[in-house]
Amino acid sequence: MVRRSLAPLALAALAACASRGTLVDPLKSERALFESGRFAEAAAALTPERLRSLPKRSRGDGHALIAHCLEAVGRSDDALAAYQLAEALYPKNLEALTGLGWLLHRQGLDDRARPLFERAVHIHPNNATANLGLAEIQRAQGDLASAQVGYESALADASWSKNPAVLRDYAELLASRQKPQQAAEAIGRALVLDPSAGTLLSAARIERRRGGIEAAYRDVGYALSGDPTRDDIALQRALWLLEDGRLAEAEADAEAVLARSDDALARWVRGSARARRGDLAGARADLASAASQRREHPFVARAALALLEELHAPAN
Amino acid sequence: MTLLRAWAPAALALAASLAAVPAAARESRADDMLREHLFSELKRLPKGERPVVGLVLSAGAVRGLAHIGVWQVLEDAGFPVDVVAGTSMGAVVGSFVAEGIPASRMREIGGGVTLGSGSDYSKTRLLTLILNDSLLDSTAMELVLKSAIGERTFDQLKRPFACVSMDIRTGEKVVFRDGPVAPAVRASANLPGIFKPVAYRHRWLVDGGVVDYIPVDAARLLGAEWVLASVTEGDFTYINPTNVLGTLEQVIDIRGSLLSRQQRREADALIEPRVGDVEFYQTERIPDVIRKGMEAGARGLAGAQESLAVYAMPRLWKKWSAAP
Repeated sequence: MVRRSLAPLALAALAACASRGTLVDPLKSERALFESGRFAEAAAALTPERLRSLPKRSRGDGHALIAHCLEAVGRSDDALAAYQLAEALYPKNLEALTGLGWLLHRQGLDDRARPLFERAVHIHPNNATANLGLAEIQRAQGDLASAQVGYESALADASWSKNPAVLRDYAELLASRQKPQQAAEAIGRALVLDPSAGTLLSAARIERRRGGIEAAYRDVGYALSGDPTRDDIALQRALWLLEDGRLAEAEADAEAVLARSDDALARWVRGSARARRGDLAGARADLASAASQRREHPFVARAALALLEELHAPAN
Repeated sequence: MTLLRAWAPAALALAASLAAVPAAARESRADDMLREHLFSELKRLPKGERPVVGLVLSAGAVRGLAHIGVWQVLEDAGFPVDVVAGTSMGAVVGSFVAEGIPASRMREIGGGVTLGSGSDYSKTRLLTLILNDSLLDSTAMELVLKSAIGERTFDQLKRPFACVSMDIRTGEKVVFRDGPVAPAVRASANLPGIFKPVAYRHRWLVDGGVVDYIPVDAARLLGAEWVLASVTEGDFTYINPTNVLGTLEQVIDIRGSLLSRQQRREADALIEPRVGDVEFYQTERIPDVIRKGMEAGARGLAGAQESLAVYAMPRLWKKWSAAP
């Protein structure tokens, strides 16, 4: 309660601080280099002497900027070392905490990234980058309710609210949480910003989850016409057609994919459709091919083998 | 704050470009797509045509609260669960699942558990335990259970449920499937050496973890054809007991682990939260324990769905081949 009543005062103080500080940015030149994509030059400019010459409160940001530059040029190991140094020297620096957190998260080290984001959120509860990082980890670790809160906090920030990838992830999360209306609204916002095949596919998935079967077929059709080379979109539609008993259409989508490559899932779709139509010999050939691709697609292979066993059962 | 604002656009742009990567990568995964498809088909099979799915929750004292996290993930994923069986803390959480209490509510209940929830752990009572050889009473646990599930009987629960206890006079395993739920669950979670045995139905009952740590057989008794077990065993290499109670509980856990080797093989899929280092009394670690349950659930969900889908293939084929 005390915290809530003090919040407006704290925000006002922070805003005043921000407006004063933007006038004098000790790292302005290096940031300009970074923002124009000249990462190596930005990193080179941040020499030990230059860092020492910075006001004390800016040194942590300087170290984090070096790490950002190293990461941007693909030197992940060096970036990790630079972030760790920044975080060790300036443990309350948000850029160091969130930068290190994101690097570890992208490398799959969520258990190590999570406490860093939590510390950043503890220092600054509205830090959008930390909230987003935490939300992604919570989502991957099954805590969808907390992840939703994190996404919403991140999306409240003007920069993230216009990021279609984040909106799409948020929409899919809402769909998983059985909140179809909110999911549809979020994916609608993503589509306005990025009407790409990927976003249309997400929109189609969400439509189907909320029972809009025809709308889902419409959206997946748009997605496919936007990028006809996307086999995953064609196969998603094929699986839905199979589910809805539209076997000939499912088979046609699978054949379009198979004309390009010997895709295990396309084999499954065609084999399954053929089996249901009574073409057991054709089905067995397709399923045997899918079952042979167990290294690349272990579950498709396993499922194909299981269906194949059914087709070999005496009744068939 | 200042610098953060000034430098935010570039950092955000970098993070945004990298954040978009996982979403695109997910879309091309054939295994994920087929799993989602088959699972959707499976869930559409009418009850009676799809396999009866059993959820089994192991013993484990405070570690067993990780089952709440596991259930949260299963509930979010719409994982079909037809029957539930549990032992000890698994029986407590299992009774909530069977009653249809949402995982979010279970998390609230779990978060409120303290050492005093099951009994009176005042210094006087503990001194009595040590000096007089007088065991504590677990009546409070029954009251906590009743506050959550009321005076339900087994047949009034939304899902068939069974819990396991042991008669300390005969060593028999006692599987409860009828009568009032709360006293049966209390008996199942009645830690020997701490709580007095519960006198119930002419038996003298203690925690079932001693004889049936992962009660897969109890779920089979309820008709489960395919069983998912959530297992919260202790890892003895972490824990060096230094007192009487700790040593006793460790011995019970070791015994439970030995017993559970066979039961693990009898389950069709396992989810194992990484809570082996949590000791039976560490209620301050409950939020972390529940989170570990969610992590394990998220890790194990795909495997469980795949196992169930493959198990159900004969039923799915029957449906597909009968369609016009």
